[in-house]
Amino acid sequence: MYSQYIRLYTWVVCLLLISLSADAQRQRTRYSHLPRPKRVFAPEHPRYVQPDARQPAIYFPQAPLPGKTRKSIGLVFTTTPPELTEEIRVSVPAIDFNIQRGLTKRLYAIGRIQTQIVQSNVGAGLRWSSQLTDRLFIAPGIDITGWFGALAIKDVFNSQAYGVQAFPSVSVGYRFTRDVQLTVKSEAIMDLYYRSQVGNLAVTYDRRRVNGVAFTFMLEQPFYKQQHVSVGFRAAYSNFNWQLWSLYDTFDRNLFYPQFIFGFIL
Amino acid sequence: MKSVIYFLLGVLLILTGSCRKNYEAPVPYAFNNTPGAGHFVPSVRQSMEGVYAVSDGAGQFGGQVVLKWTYLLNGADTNHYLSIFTGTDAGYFNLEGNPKADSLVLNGYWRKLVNTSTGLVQLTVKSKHNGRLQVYDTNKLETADTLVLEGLYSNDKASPTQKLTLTYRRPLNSRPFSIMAHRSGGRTSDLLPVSENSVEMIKLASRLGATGIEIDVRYTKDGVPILYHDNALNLRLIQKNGLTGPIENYTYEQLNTLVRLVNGEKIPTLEEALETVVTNTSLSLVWLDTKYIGPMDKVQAIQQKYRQKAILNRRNLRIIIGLPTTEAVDQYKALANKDNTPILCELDTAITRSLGARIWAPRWTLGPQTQEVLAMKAEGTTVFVWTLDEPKFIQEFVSQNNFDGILSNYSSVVAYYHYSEQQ
Amino acid sequence: MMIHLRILVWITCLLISRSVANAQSVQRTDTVQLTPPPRGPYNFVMTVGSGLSFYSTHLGVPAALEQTHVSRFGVPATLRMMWYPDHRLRIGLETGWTTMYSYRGHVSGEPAHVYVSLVPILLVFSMPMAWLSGTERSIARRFAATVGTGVYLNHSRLDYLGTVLTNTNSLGWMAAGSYTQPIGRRLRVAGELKWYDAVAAENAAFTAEVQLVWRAFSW
Repeated sequence: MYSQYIRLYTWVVCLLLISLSADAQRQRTRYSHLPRPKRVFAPEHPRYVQPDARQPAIYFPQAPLPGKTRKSIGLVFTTTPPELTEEIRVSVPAIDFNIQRGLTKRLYAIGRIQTQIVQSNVGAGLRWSSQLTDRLFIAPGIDITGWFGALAIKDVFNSQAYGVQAFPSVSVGYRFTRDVQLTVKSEAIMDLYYRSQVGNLAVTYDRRRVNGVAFTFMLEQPFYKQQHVSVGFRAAYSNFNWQLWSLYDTFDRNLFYPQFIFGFIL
Repeated sequence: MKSVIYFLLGVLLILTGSCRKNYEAPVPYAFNNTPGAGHFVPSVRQSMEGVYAVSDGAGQFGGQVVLKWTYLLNGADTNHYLSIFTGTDAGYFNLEGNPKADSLVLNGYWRKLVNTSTGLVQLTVKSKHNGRLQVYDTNKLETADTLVLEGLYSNDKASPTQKLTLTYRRPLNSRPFSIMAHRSGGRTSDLLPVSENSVEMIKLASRLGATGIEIDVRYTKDGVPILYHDNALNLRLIQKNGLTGPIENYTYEQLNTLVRLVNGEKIPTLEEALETVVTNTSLSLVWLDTKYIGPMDKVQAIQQKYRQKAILNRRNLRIIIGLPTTEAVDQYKALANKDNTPILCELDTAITRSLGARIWAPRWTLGPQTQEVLAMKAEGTTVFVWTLDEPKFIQEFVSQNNFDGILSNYSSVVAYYHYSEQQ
Repeated sequence: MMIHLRILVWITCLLISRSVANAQSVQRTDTVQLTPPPRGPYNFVMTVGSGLSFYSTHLGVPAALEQTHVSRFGVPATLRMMWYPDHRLRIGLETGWTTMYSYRGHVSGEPAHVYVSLVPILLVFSMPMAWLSGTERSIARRFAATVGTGVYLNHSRLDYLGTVLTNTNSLGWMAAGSYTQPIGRRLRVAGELKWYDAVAAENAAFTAEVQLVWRAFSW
């Protein structure tokens, strides 16, 4: 079952790499008689891009300047799969806070908190950003997230659970115009650890396995005045979603979790 | 520009996969349903039941399985089926004797409920005598002989080619225990061949490991008790026909004419369901889950009618009214006569005691509640837990030995852990 | 069908965006510089429209019905209220009413009729294809892509041995492409092709509408 997603994932990555390679070749051909142009300029260079000239973004795979931080706050709406919630099909909101900090001119750290109060997800990770052409950027990365939830409801729940997952990813960003940037992010979802407890009885799973894949399509652009926003869609196919831990999914099938994401870039 | 084309191609590829996948698990085997058991006479069937070690095929089905015979009554005829519960990925086998074969041959299929894996199976029953396999004959069986089921299995509809060998290890755990199947046998979302809360699912329940069933009772607009789980007509449970909204808005005739469950069955009345339980199955318990809001007298009358019918048919069958909410408790309290109306209370122990319920059934998500469970049992109350599907927790709850039964969508998993439990 | 349409909408949006981007990227520099964005005006825009809808996914007619007649066409109505800030992205709410399908037939001589319609209540985002260059005279700036997500109220009416009127909610989405022609200082006429998809109820329709776009308030 996973193989088809891994194959799809590999195809996507290959196509994107081919795309980048083709673009790079085109650049080389055009400027073959010239020294290869540098993509990043030193601060004293006249063509250096001032930090505030960059488009504010969270998903677009362009590293913040070293030492600079960017943040966003918004909501993620996750539609529940009918296999788990049956006739109750709802779009569950979670508060979504992102923070990113440039470490070097290419490497940046990310942090993300998603919370629904009774259950939360905290993640941290690294991205390595490259600007391939004037418009095209790419950033492979990996996030490690920890989720936890607890429910105590009379006659219904006395349950807690937590777990750890990893999300290796490749983000490809394309700057259509000065005001619109599209990012396509492909992620593999990997289970590292899961512990669930009801009353005083606990079970754990510590097998490391690929749980599913996710694809995100994100537009980032100005909205009003200087305020920029991220608006997009994430399609996750996975055996487990932390927001639905209390439904104790037993399916060994990649269920579809569509997510609508909206965030204000601070 | 080229890069944009490749970029868009990549996006296109991703979007192609960005759709909800429809999973299916069609049964690859057509049962002959020949009446009688053929060569599988009662002594053979009895000797075959037990816990077996898996040698060939352990990678697919785990190292140990449980074999159990069940039957369906069809008037004067009886159909016998062998079920194998694997404990791995909620796996089970459904097999029937091959009447055309000279020896003890079983044909059927296997399925894993957690995913869509399925395939065909052919097994032959043999005995191992002095280390050599030979034709199984109960009359010639010696104490040191071991029963072996040997054969082949396949994936999907392919002809079986992969070896499967099961070797008898020990008898089944005989501790009395109720294995109750949710929604009359299992969930529609587990891609079973028949729909939940249907007559056909009731007939399948035993083969999935159940000794009892839970069914969901609602009233139609004209007051007919029927089986239906959800609050509204929806495509999870019924075939598309444009009708939506609460089932209580429709008359029985409207539902019976225009609505079919996802696998094509009619929505059964409570009477049709209990008639099937009494006359066709060997199930020993029916838990009527109260999904309706309104008077309970009609359900009580039907419960008592089929209780009498079961007694007349010499059937060991308990039909119990489940009280999941305070509203249901009030409806029960409003009954004029509560004689011969066994109830099951899902609320706390105080309410259970105050109602004089003989069965207490807390949710499994409250945990084992060992003190409360032991206290209730000491008072003579039967204690079930519901609706427990998580295999590791099923194993833990069974091994703790405190509960008298488990309600599950995976009765095959409960059956595996219960019957294979070492006494 | 749904899958293909979804893909087509995406690809069309992307291609148009790309082509417009190319048109705009005249003499662009090696790095992307964001010029100070324009300030206002902010507009509150109301859109009403109607046209023709076609039910574009599978439908089920009970096998018990004889002499069946199915209709997939309807006349939709749309009401959309949008906020146009001083950038490309616009946000608003959309509602309306759209026939999904109906069928009629007989069961043992008794007539039966089922009618299904839905009312969308959607949060919508819209983007004109061009923004940073050109004016409203530019053709590209008159094309817009709109997507939305929210709830559909699915309404069904059964006439068979009595009448049953029921409603049920379904999560869903929409996607649309439109062309807007100015006809006055505050009025525009638009043509819009739209895909409504009430996912949980598996009701989906393709609509073609003519819309009147009224810039109600500006500040």
